[in-house]
Amino acid sequence: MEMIKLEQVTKGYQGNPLFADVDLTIQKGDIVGITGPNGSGKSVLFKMICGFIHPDAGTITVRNEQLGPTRRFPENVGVIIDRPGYIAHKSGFENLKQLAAIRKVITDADIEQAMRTVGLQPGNRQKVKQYSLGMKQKLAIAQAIMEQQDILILDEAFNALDHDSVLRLRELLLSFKKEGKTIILTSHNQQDIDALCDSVYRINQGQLEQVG
Amino acid sequence: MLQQIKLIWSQAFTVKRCVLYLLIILGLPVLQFSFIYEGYQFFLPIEVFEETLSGTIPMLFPVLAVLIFLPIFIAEYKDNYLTYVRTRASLKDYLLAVGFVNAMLTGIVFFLMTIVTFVLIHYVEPIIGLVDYWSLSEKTYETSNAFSFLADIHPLLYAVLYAAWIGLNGAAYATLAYLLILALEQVYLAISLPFVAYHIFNFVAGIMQAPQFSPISTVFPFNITEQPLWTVFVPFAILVVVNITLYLTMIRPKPEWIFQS
Repeated sequence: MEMIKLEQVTKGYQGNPLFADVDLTIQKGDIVGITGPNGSGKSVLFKMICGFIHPDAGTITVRNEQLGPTRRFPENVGVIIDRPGYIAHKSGFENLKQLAAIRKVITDADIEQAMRTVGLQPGNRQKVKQYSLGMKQKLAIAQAIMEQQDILILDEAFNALDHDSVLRLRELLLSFKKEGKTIILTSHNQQDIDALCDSVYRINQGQLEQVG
Repeated sequence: MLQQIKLIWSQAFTVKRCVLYLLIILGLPVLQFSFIYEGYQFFLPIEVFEETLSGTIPMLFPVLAVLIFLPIFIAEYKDNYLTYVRTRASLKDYLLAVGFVNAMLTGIVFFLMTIVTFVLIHYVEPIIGLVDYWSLSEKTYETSNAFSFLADIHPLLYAVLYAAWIGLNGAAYATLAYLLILALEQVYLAISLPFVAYHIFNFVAGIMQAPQFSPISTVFPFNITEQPLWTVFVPFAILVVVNITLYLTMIRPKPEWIFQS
């Protein structure tokens, strides 16, 4: 089953042409890696799939629904993009609870479970502004998975994580793959890409070249 | 949309936020009252009320309007939180809901500040007797303003309608700051501009010898002689037009929202 499909997508961003007639199809249960140098457009690609920005030409389809005026953003997609997002003066649990209240599809117990899964203590009353970078990253991962999202879009999800946490996240993503979840990710660490991805695409001169 | 409004509304009622609302509703008027109740010649409670709502509150009015709800949104905006909201809800709905709550809450806080101050001064203070009222027979000057005719009908009518006017203006200034945040995407500039514009227009109206059209004297018309009621609507109408223009020209046409906080 095709979960994400880009057809003839062209996109320029802030005056720079980034993608020209790009096609990409990602099947259910695949883990796909996207690589490329800084500024090549990895985040822009992810933002287009999330519906944050729109292609200048071409179509993006998620779960057979084309993004556009009637479907602005795909539902039930877990995202880490740009950097973790949080309200600094609230605890990690309070942050997740506030986000979860938007869709109201999970309970407090689900939030606590997601926090434990990534190695955070739900009962920790510490405010997020006092979190280390790694803890903020874990919180971002928790928000991306807490609602049992079946598509995960993870831009540099391994950033700032210690070695054990990296291994734990890799195991987690592989277990999600077994559950049939679809994952598209970037990482500056080639080992993450090698360990996880079924296929790898490199952004090169406005095209997605399959390199693995 | 309604669910978004309920969610955002509930976020505005933490203990710290409630203390802030109480300080604005009660603290500022009580402070101002403590400065004026002995030092002026008062003939009627309504004069005490009007003097209590003079001074600091008019000077800081746009700042107070920005303080009531917008810090909650600014924290979300600056910390990249909105990125993770928009994967769960329509960003357009969310931003509209924030705008609605911002205007409503600001309006309600200012409404309460005005009406509570009026009730305390008009109905409670005379029982306590802190203010020494002079006999009306000794009054040699007029203290009426653009809204005074309402008090002649009934003091409570004056209180409710004037409080609604203050609330409406507060909501308009809070909305201006919110729209500027979205339009300019520069938070500190956006929240400063309403205050700067408020005082620049006060200054300009003073220079042009038309204080009846200054923002401060139309919201708090106690420092000028009585003017026709329509004059108070002039700066307000301009403010509403600016808000609508900002929305139509800089916010609604925006094809993509990339927050560069």
